[in-house]
Amino acid sequence: MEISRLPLKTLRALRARALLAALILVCPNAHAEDPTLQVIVLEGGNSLDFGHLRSLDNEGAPLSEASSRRVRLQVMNPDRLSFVISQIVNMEPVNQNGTSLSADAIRFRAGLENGAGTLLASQKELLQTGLQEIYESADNDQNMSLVIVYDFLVPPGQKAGQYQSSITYRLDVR
Amino acid sequence: METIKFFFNAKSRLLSGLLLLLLSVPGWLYANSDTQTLSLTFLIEPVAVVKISSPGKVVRIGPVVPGVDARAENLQVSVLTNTEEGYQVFHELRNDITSNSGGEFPKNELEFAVSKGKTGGASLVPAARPVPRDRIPVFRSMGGPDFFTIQYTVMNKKAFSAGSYYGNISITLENA
Repeated sequence: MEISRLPLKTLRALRARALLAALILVCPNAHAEDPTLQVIVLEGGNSLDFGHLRSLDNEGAPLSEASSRRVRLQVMNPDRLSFVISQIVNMEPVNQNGTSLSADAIRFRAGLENGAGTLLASQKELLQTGLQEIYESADNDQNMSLVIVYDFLVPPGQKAGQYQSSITYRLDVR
Repeated sequence: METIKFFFNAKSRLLSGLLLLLLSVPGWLYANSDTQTLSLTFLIEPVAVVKISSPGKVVRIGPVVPGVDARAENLQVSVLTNTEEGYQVFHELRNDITSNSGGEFPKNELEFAVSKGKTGGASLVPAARPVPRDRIPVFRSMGGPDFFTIQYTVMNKKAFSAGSYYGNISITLENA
């Protein structure tokens, strides 16, 4: 009756391992509360909407209008874990015809409001597709907030239409 | 039977192993990222303007000498647009061409031809033909800015009274 003996063995092994796991769970790291990230558009709304802009004036002459939007990133980090914040531009902005925006049209810079870590994007940088790290926490960062300013300068003659893209803000514990 | 025993055994160990792995990984090794996504959007307003230029804003033909065709300077037409939609340019002679003294210019005596566009637009009047009174499409584009010319010619085949003759031409743009 080897079959009946095997589950018993397994059960014993499970019991021992569960005990071991329970011991591990009571260690401080196992109960550490992950930091949380909150994203707020300071101009209101739930999107980074630069509004209605013109690339030609009423006479058809090239025109370059500008628009800025600000996003505040807030981190609550009660257990002072080390973390990094990144922004990920998921795709270049394109209109309904698939026409894209030139890569140097939107620039951003981050300013620290509260926190002891290191800003990794304090100078104006191009908003490019892909991941860009914004902030690296200090060892004892509990609460952190920073504001990212996005400056959009419409390329003169830019094709008309509704342009769409998205930005993901990500906090990674390290 | 061996196969069943082995399978049972392996499954049990696999499950217990997985459970152990899940329970024993410290908190800082999993569930350790937080993400939020914002859509990024803006609207570029469409603009489409047709502009004509010729010296003095007048298409001047002549003086007309009997028996000799008289050509005007080219009327230059620019379409300035940031749209990607196709469009047509229309031509309309808004009133009969008449002289100071009210004399009517012979119909079909004034002809015109339209060049093709510099950036790919097509002429709908590639060869000279009489200018009609009606509003007709003379140029078609699949989209984007373009530039073309209109050439007017007095054929001078029929006799008409001496004098200065005037008419109004309207050039308009419409989405195709």
